[in-house]
Amino acid sequence: MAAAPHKEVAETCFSYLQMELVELVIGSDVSSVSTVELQRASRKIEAVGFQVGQRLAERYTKDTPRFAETIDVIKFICKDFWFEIYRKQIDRLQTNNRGVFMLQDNRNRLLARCSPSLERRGNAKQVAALYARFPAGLIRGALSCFNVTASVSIEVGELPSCEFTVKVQESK
Amino acid sequence: MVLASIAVIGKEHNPLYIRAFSRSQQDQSEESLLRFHFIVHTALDFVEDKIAAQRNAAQGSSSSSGPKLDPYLGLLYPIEDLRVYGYASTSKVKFIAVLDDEDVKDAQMNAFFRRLHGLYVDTVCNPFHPPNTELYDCAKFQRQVDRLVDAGLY
Repeated sequence: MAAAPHKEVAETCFSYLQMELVELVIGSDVSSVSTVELQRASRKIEAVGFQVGQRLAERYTKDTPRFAETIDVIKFICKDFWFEIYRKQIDRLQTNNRGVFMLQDNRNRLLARCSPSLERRGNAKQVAALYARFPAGLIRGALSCFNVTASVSIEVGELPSCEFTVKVQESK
Repeated sequence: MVLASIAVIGKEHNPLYIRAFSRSQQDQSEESLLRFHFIVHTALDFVEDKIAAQRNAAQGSSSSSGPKLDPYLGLLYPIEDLRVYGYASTSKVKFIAVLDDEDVKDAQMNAFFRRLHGLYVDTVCNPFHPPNTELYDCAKFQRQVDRLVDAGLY
């Protein structure tokens, strides 16, 4: 069986699309949004990420052997899944072995271009978290593809690094 | 090989797609479809068993390289004059094929399932198809499956 050609997309297109996604849900004036709006926007963005992650995970695992444990799923997301999307792997993975995983991305492709002006440093992290919502959704979507229910929270450190905390809800 | 029926079973053991193939038109009755529903349902138990057996074998052999679990599960069980084969994807989607042929090679079956899996993945990636729902409405999937079965592209 001939392998299907690997389809690629220009990274700039992908970046612009993600930027525009944030723009779309929040409106162009980021400085004057309320917390409620910010929350609603982040939920929307995460939902988009979820949909995409769910489908991509199905595709990327087509030829991988089945996972035995949840940690294997997380490892897959850190390595192969992240590489397919962002051309890099998650830099650091920590776990407390009780269903909480910390995925640290020191140089997120999306946040790498962020450079807030001096007067807007204040809410820069808030807005950056909004951008990071999309990859958080990706993670949640990919996990749900393997029947792992989880919640993903975001912590934006010094730009462009961010950290995803995955809390797995034990099933059964 | 002669396919009698194929089925796609979702993550929560929910049937996504069950279809019976037969040469004679009268055989396409509700009853024969029900029979395949039953066969596929029974097959799921065997799928679980096979997966558990694979996992145990992988844990027993080597812990360093990590368990390598093959999606192709091989012959699940024979029933009357039929043979049931299975395949489980990484994402816990199960593919079941019912054959009424005596001799079929594992490699051939594996290739068939891989193609079927490919079709499924293509369908899931269709933005108009909500994930984990039935596949009967997907015209393209139906068409491709027809082609796969009719032309014997495996």
